[in-house]
This record gives sequence, structure tokens and C-alpha cells, in this order.
Amino acid sequence: MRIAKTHSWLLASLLGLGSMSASADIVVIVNPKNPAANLTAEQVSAMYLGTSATFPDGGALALADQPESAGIRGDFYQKATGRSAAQVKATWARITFTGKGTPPKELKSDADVKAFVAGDAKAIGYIDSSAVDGSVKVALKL
Amino acid sequence: MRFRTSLIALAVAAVLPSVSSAVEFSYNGFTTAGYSELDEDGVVFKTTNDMDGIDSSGTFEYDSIIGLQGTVKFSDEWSFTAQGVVKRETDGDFGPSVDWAYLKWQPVSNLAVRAGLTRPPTFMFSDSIYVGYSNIWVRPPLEVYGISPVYQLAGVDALWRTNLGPVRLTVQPYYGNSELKLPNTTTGEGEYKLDVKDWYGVALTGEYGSFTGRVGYGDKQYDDEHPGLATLKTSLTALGYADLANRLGMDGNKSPILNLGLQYDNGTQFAVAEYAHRGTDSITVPELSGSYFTFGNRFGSFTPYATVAMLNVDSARSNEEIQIASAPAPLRPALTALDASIDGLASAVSDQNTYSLGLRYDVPSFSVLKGAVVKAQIDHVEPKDGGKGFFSAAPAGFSDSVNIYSLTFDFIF
Repeated sequence: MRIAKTHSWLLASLLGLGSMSASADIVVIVNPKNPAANLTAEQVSAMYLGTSATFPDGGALALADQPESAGIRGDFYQKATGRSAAQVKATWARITFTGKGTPPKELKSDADVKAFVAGDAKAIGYIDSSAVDGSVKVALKL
Repeated sequence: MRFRTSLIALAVAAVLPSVSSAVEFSYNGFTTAGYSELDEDGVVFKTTNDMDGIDSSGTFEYDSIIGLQGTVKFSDEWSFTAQGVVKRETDGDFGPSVDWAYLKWQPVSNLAVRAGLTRPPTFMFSDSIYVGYSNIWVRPPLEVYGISPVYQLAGVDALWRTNLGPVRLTVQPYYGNSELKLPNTTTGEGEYKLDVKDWYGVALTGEYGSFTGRVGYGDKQYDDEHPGLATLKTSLTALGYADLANRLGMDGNKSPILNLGLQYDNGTQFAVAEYAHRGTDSITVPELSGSYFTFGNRFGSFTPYATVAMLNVDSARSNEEIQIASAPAPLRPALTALDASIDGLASAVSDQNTYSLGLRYDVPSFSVLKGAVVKAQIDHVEPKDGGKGFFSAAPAGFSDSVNIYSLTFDFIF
């Protein structure tokens, strides 16, 4: 499934249709200083469901989230974790009220998430692929 | 009066963010409003820590709770968290209490050490039983969650996460003291507090893909006697049964609990199973095994679920040590009465099965409510062996099954 999608994206890029296809994609971004070159959906899922408190290399983690009202939030959780935004919220409520972690920081927009990730070497976030620029590094395409 | 205290706490919580600049302050809350009733007069469903429970006249109080948590973060490494709840306390009155209050030191991202008041992970969801929003059921199956009456640890714990190949492992050891709170059901007012010492244990949780497995073990020692047993123990000793008297009741009793849990959740379907065993040294505190299996399927915002739960009493439900026939005739009536008292305590709990059906509906979030759910649940409880199962009260000669109907609204804010 994911392989097929990567192929179609490659194909679209080759044909010069990259921007059209990319606008519907969600990318997971990290700070350019982050040594993680690529993350798997499984690794991103573990971080956003609170089961992993660090990056795969053990580095500290600061999670950024999109607003609850934004459509990208539901799409991201469905694609990355296989869970709805509501399920993820119930998971974080459990983690919060048992003192096992702090939920992702809710920011207002793609631009805010990008600024947060660009300004913190520990940060990870997700934005629409059309908003990516050189200030952040794409670690996973969903 | 008690509410005034919590209002002051709320006011302080509201003011704190504006006065603090060097430290970060955050707060969150959860609440459940619930109604429950059962369909058999004279039967009461509750844990041993409750004065009142669910009966045939219905209650708005049994499942209802408000919790507020505030965290002050001094640095990346140090923070302090307090969680207060308002609920019906052991003495039967609604009131506020501090449920969690701990200083947390997190030297690295995957290790945290906490000191203060916490809830140890005796069972898979022990530390979050009050957060109805996060839980599948209206309340966790009593067949497992009812076998440990001690919840709150005054001590230290640690949370360490590591990867074992593809398995994400969490290790949580804990040590400290506690209190067993029991309602004074003789007078119907107030509560007993029995000291619990040397409470230690560990929970190991492994996560791999859609699976979560868990092993928990904990032991503790009761360090006070239940005042209601004083007369029985004195009388037994006076009649030459000092050894038997020493093996009754709470004082000195150890109650090790082993727990195994398995969860599967692929995002749409989920299954949870737990097994727990409670050991004992006391004749009047039964040895118990409990287990349950829950399965659910998410259809958009609706999640129907079903549970089968079983409780087994592993210890003898009567004691044969008192020799009435061979005793001098004048002592026989007293010994007969003592024998009946001990048997009554040993048989207070009997095996039972519970079959539950429930439906969870996730309400779209709005305004200050970050999340809301409605749950409706029916529990069909079947006590066995001519006893009253885990019910705390039942009429004489009771041998029926009982249905419990519950409706709850859970919010987080």
C-alpha cells in the first residue's frame, strides 16, 4: 500500500506533477540538526501514542500537534497510527492523568508547527507537504 | 466547608499561570457523571472501600467524580504534579481528596523517578480507573479490580522505557507505605484506616505492533487490625484458640498480587484480557483469582463492547479447627457462635461470573470540553455456590442473578 503510494508520488514527480500530488500529502518534519534521516510510520506512531518518549536513537522529543479543528490532524493520526484523533485523545488523557507524559503541544497552523520544529532540535511535527521549506527536514511522507 | 477548600484550590490554580514566569504551569481535568441501578432489592454492588454502592433505588453518586490536575514544571528535569478529586469518599460523604502529589525527576527522556503520592500499577488500568474518558468500560471489572482494596502509595516509583529489539519495554518498580480505608458499616458513619507497610512491586509492559503484554507483581503487609475483629480474636484466645486468633483478620497479613494482562488493538478491533491472583495468610481474607476478557469494535464514533468476567474463591469458605463436640458443655454455645463468625467471614465472598454489554459513543468535542463520551452498560452478574458473589450485601437465601444498568458521561477539559 505504502510502496504503491511512494511509487505514484515518484512517478508524479518525474512527470513534473509533484506539486499537484504533494498538496494532498502529509509530511512528518524534524529539525535539520536532528540526526534521524528517515522515520518509519511505526516509529512516528509510537512517539505520537506516547509509547516512545524518545527518537529511535534515544534523543529527547518534543511533539507538535495541529489544532483539533484542522482536518490534517485526523488524517495524520489515521495514516500514522491507524487510530482516530478521538482515540488518540483518550490515550493521552490516560498518560496525562497518570503522570507518564505530556501530550503534544497544540499549535495553530502549518506555519506555527514549522516554526516550532525549525527552532527546536528535539522537535517533531507534521504539516501539509506543500508548506515544507528549507527550515525543516522531512523524515516521513504519509 | 470541604467544597470551599476546593474552590480556593481552583482559584489558586486559576491565578498561578499569571504570577509564574520562570516556571511553566499547566492544568487539566476530567469528570464523570453517572447513574446506576440494579434490579434486585436488598443487593448492594460496591467495593470494600465504599460505604454505599449501587442498589435497586439507583444512585448518581457511585461513578461520579471530578478530577483536577496541575503540574508545575521547574525545568526539563524537575516538576511537581498534584491531582485532586471530588468524589464519594470511603466514609460515604462527597468530598475532595488529594489523589496524586509527587515530585518528578526526569534526568533523561526515558527515565523518570517520582516521590510522593501515586497510584501503583497493580493491574493494567489501576492508575487510571478514575479517568472514565480513557477507559473502555463504565467501571473496570470488579472480578479483577476488586481484589486489591489498597490504591494509593506514599513512596517512590520509577518509569524506565527501553527497546528490546522491536519490543518497547516499560519497567515500573515502586516501594512505599499505604493505608487501607474501610467504611465503618457498623455505625454507618466514618471510616477505619489500617496501616499498610512495605508495599513493593513492579510492572513490566511490552508493546509490539498492535499487542501489549504485561506482568505485574506486588506485595504488602497490613500493620493494623480491623477494629471490628477485636472481640472475636479476644474471645478465641480466651477459649484456648490463640493460634487460630492470630491467623484471623488483617494485622500482619501479607497479600501478594500477581497480574497478567494482554491487549490487542488494531485501531478498529480491540481485545483486552487480564488475570489476577491474590494470596493471603489469613483465614478471613480469602485467596482469590479473577479474570476477564473484553472485546470491542469501533464503528466510527460508536464502540460496542462485551465482557466476560470470572471470580474464583481459592481458599476454604469454612474453618474446621474449632472442636465443639469435644469441648466442655458450658463452652459449646460460645464456641459454636465463634465458629459461625469465622465461617461467615471466610464465606463472605463466593465465585461469580459477570457478562457485560456496553456501548461507547464519542461525542464531537466542543467549546472548553476537549473530549466527551457517553457510555451505557448492562452487567449480568451470576453469583455461584449459594453465596452472594462479590456483592457486599444480599438478602438471606439469595440465589439469583442480578442486572446492573449504568449510564455515564465522561469529559476531559
